This record gives sequence, C-alpha cells and structure tokens, in this order.
Amino acid sequence: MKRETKLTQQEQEQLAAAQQQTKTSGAQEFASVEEMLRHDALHTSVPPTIAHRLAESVSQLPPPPARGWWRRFFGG
Amino acid sequence: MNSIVSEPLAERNCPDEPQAGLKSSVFGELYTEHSRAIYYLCLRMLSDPDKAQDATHDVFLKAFRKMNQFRGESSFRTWLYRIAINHCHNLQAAWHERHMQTNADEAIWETTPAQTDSPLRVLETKELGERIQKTLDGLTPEYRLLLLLVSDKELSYEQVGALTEQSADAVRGKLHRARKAFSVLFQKTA
Repeated sequence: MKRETKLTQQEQEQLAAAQQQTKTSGAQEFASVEEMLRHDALHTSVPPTIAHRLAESVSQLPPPPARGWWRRFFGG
Repeated sequence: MNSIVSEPLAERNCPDEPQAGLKSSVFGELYTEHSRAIYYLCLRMLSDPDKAQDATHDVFLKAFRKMNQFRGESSFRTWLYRIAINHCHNLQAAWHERHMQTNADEAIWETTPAQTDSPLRVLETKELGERIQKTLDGLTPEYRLLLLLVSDKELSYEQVGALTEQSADAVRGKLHRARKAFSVLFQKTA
C-alpha cells in the first residue's frame, strides 16, 4: 500500500526556504506546526532511567505466553 | 513482524544486568526504535516529565506483557501508540476526577486572524519546548493528539485516523483547524 505523503509541494518548498533562512539568520523558523513538533521531538532526550527501570521490571516477569502455533508444536 | 512476537522474548534477557539484557533483546531493539516517539507523546500529553517517564515505562511493560496479542495487523509503532494513548487518557481521567480544569476558550482562535501561512519563528531554542507545551496545553485534547500524531512521519493519515477513531478525511479536515489554533496560541506565548 502506497503511503500518502503529508507534505504538499508547497509545504516542502516553504520548509526548504525556512531552513535556508535559519542558516543565514540564526533564528529558527518552521514552515508548519508538524515541522516544529518534529524538531522538538528530535531534541527531546529520553531519560535513560526509563530503560533501566524497564529492564528491571521485565527481568522480574515470567516469559510472555507463546502464540498459538508455538503452543501446538511445543505444548504448554 | 510475526517473527518478533513468536519468539520467547524474555528468555533472551540476561538476568545478571537488567539494562544490558534489555539492550541485547529483540524487545530492547524495539524500545530503542520507538521510545523517543512514545516518550514525546506522553510528555506532551501529560505536561510533566516525571509522569511521562512513568507512563513510558508502563506502556512498554504493558506491551511486553501483551506481546503475544500483537497480531501484526498494524505497525508495531501504531500498536504502541494505542497503548500509550489509552494509558495517558486513563491518567488524565483520574487527574480530572480530583481537579477541575477548563480548556482554553475555543472562541479565542476562532475570532483571531489566521496566521497559518506565515512560518512559526523562535529565537531561543531552550524556550521552544516550554512554548510548545504551553500551546498544546491550551488546545482541546483532540487537537493536541491529532497534531502530535500527524507530526510523526511514520504515521499515515489513515493510521492517525485509526488511532483517533475517525476517517482519514476527518483527520484532514480537523487538522486545518488544529494548525490554526496552534499557530494563534503559539504567537501568544512569545
């Protein structure tokens, strides 16, 4: 299934122009709300403590139940 | 994706060092690939870094527990988003039971001249996150969620529609108003 691009030709041109202006002026400009949010997400760090807590939580859990085909072949 | 869910994931974790075990597992690879998107959604929906940390942990733990229920009918990221959205909604509902909160008056952006065609400009990078959060907090929950999901390039309008229980056309229609509302409120945060 072909996925629809969410940026129109005009938006792409605006984005390119904004990025070029950013390079020259030092200000940050975003051609669209989505572009600003993408930039914000890219510069938002995921706290490393989440991975550590998650690893601890997962290590205390039993293995997840197998899918149907797995059960049929190996029992359980 | 079937090969991911059919493997006994937890058995691949190293029990001696939990974090190292997570990194070396298939589940750890999925965490690495999708944690930023899920954390960012939780952060901007909940407006609180500590709550977002807890929520991201809980979302991935729930995904790990329910991994056998993932049938590959949607992308793994879409499946994670669905868990995250439900989780955040539950947290917000619990919070709203204890606190009264009024959303920003929608009339504000309905009557303000639209500036959606002009680029959004910020001078200070460090202020950007705060201004975005303040702006998103002023939007209706539906507009906020739509903008956050559509900003993820990996999601199509159809997938955003499925996550928000509406058609892709409805998403497109509401996005115009959501962008306008965001732009108007964002200018006010300067």
